Amino acid sequence: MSKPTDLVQGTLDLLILRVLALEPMHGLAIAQRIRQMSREQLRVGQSALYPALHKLEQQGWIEAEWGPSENNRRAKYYKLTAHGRKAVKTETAEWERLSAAISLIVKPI
Amino acid sequence: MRWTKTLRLRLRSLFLSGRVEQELGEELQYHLEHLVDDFVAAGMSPEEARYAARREMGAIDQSKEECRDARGVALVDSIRQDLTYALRALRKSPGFTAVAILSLALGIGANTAIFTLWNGVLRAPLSGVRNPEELVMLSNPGDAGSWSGRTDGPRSWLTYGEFEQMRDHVEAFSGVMASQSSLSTWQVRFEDGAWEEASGRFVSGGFFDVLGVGAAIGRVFTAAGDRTDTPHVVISHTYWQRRFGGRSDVLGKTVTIGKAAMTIIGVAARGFIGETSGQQPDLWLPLRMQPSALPGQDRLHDTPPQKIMWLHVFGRLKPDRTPAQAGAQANAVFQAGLESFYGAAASGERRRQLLDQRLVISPGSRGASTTRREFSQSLTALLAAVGVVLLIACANLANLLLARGAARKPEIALRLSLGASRGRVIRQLVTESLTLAAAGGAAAIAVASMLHPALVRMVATSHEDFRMSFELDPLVLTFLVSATVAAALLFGALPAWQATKTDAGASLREQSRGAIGSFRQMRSGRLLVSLQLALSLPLLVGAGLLARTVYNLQRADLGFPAERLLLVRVDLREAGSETRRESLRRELLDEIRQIPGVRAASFSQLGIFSGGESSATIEVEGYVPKGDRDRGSALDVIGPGYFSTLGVPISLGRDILESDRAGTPAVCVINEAFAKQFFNGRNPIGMRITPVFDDERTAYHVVGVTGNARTQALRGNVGPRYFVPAPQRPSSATLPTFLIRTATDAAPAIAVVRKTVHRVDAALPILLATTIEEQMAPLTAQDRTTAQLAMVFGCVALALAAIGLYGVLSYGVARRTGEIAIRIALGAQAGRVISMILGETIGLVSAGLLVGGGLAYAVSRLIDSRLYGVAPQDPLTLAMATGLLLLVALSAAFLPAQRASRLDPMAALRQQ
Repeated sequence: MSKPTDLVQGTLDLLILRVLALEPMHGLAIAQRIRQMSREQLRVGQSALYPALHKLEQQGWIEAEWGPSENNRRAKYYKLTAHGRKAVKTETAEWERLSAAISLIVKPI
Repeated sequence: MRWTKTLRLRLRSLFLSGRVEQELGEELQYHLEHLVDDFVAAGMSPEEARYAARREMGAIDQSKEECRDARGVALVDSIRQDLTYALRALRKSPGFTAVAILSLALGIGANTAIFTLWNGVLRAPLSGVRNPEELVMLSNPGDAGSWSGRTDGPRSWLTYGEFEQMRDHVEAFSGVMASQSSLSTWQVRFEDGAWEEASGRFVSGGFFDVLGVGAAIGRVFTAAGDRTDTPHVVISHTYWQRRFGGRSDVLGKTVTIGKAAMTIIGVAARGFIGETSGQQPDLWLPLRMQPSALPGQDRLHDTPPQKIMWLHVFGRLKPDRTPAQAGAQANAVFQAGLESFYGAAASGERRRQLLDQRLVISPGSRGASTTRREFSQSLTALLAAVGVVLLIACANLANLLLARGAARKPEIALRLSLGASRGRVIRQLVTESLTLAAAGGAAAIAVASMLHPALVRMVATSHEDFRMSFELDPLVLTFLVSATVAAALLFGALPAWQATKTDAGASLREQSRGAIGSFRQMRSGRLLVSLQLALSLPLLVGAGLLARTVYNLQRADLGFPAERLLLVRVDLREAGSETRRESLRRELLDEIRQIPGVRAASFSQLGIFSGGESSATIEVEGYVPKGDRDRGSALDVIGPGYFSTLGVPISLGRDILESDRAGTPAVCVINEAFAKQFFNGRNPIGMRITPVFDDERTAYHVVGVTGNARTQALRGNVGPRYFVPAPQRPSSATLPTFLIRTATDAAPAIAVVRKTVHRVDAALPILLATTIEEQMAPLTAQDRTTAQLAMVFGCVALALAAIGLYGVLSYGVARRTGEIAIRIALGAQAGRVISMILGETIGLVSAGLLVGGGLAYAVSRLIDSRLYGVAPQDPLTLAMATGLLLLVALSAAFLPAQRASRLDPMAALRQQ
């Protein structure tokens, strides 16, 4: 339920951005999508999710608007901004560089 | 645009916080309800689903808080929250709040008031002047040559000729100006009105231009004013407002000043008071008008080798020039000027001496000041003293807050266990301190503005023309704010740290049992009290030393009785020829001596404690000077019976007599300091003293030696001085001060003497008529006020420290009730309990005294030069201050100790 502490710092932002690159969605959907896509490996609790979303909004990478949800209630939908799309690219490249570097060290054993 | 969007978001979060909060709530609510739906869909009952969803969501409030943090305005927001909370908490304990605000207001207010004065007298740049940092002052601080002027400190004046050289030949300056160093009070008359008084000074044509000051209306002097005599006057803005109500028809008005009729051509820009801080002249006159305004004393032309040094000279550096370059150029010009000035007037060794003068360049941004040097030490010492008082007050508040923190421990523990971070709680507590301090700081402005006039009066007692208004200029405001914030952090940080330094669970449990509190907290309190005691000691020692200084000064041995003596100064400058002046002096003396009740009378050119001085380079028969320093002596020109009138004993030879006249052999009387320096064991009677630079080289034969009388300065050694009879040094006794010894109280005789003078010649101006006591009062006024203020601060510090000690001990006794009760139950006598508590006190006090002793040593060095007749490390003063501190500390400790000894062990233990 708490923050996914085993996630490398900052990766949650990347995950959110990647998921939102598919389509605009609300908070819970983002969490569920991350869970599905990671084959139930990554569970993001609301206590980590919403602060991250608000921070990304402040950074201007995503923006939010209220809209009707699939069960016909009002939900807050997030989508990428132009800046956000650029950020997905750079953050992804950065992540790949980092994970490659880590696997270089971890693999041989 | 991304940043505009971001900014909009932030502003929205800040100002539409209600809407944003609501949306946040909705968003999380949606999340929750969606989860519930999902769980229900998965087959749970609605209640189960709700519960599961809740569990999955976790602490919602905490994530709300984190979202607020993420939005970046949480800080502003929570400060607002903290502030509201702080105000509520402070309102709940009005007693504590009042005490805290009051002591802060006094502490910060006193600091601000003294800082304002310190800033105004010592620091502030000249007001209304363009780029003051480009200004430099030129002075000639040596003592070579023969000159006239005042002698408090290094001489800072140049002659008119020297000013002209600087103005015309120093390339590094974009402009050079000169102004009369002393502010004169003039008799002025507008059009056909009555005579009135106004203060003013002569200034050069470039005065306003060099300072970069324009006119509010009309125009100011221009450089052309140095070439021709222009009968023009510029008046100050305040004078214009005060005397003419700001009317513009003041331009073109005719004003008679001294003997000259002049025209007002302009009003200087508002805020400009001239080049000397603390003085506010009403009007400025062109230097070239000096001989016409004051006929009979031409100060624009010097007769070698006599120099009239009377001008402050300032230069404005060109932007690419350094003061060092200007100094080198100025000295080259100055040396060439000296060579041609002295010309053939002297030769050989004497010429070398005369040419040994150098100009010194000093920063001129703060202008000239007569008060600065004199007050710098007192003000700095007072500033340090009030700073210490504020520190002690802060320590007291810290102690109060420590106790308050202890009482609030359960509340704080609760907030910590509910998820508030420690930093957050500390911030909350510090906000409370800041709120207190801000209230104190605001009240301090009122306190400072009330204290200010009293402090200005203290400076003004020895400088009648000193004026200064209380203004919160940027520097003072900065000081006030920083003092306030520093105070808040000083008294707030430690208690906040202590109060939150707790294991939440332990504290909550502890509270319910009421067990003995942590000793760490006690230790902080004790440390603070030791610190307070340590800080009080130097204040007490300083106050003691200053008080003894005043006592000694007032009882200083002048070498003659300073009572039943009148001083009446008469202006003979315009009375006519020297023959006429001589007969007037005689006649006046004869008439005054006839007045019933007058025992004796004489006169002297310098007078007594007039602030003037005159000195001469001399040759003494049979004495070979060892260096440049021992060629000069102070001198005075006196009337017959001077020493017998004053009551200065004549140890050898005789007094100056009526028979020492123009035609008789030239004689002089020397003081013992003179005899010691120049004759050192030889018999001085009959020896010749020759002033080097007089028009005629007259050799004066010593006819008498007198005791060392203090006639000009209370402090320092009495230097060599010789006295010559007025008729034998022509044109030197033009402003004689008549010294009149009366049989009884001198004050009532003043009116009679005035009448007598005017009976002799109704046109003679009387410049001064006062008793010796009144004449001397300003000499010690500054020391007296400084000592009084130091006393007040010392007592306040001591009282605060005593309260602090009392608080800590009472608190300690309360916390240790159980322990003390057991001791008593086990048979400890009341005396033993008391001595235990007092023993602890002694521990605290001696730690404080040890540190305080060191501080006192440092402080006493700081005020070293203000002291008189008492050594900075005077053991008696130190012992008395220590004793007083110990006495007060023990009295403060006695009450809690007594309370402890009277504990009823059974009751106390049952309560536990």
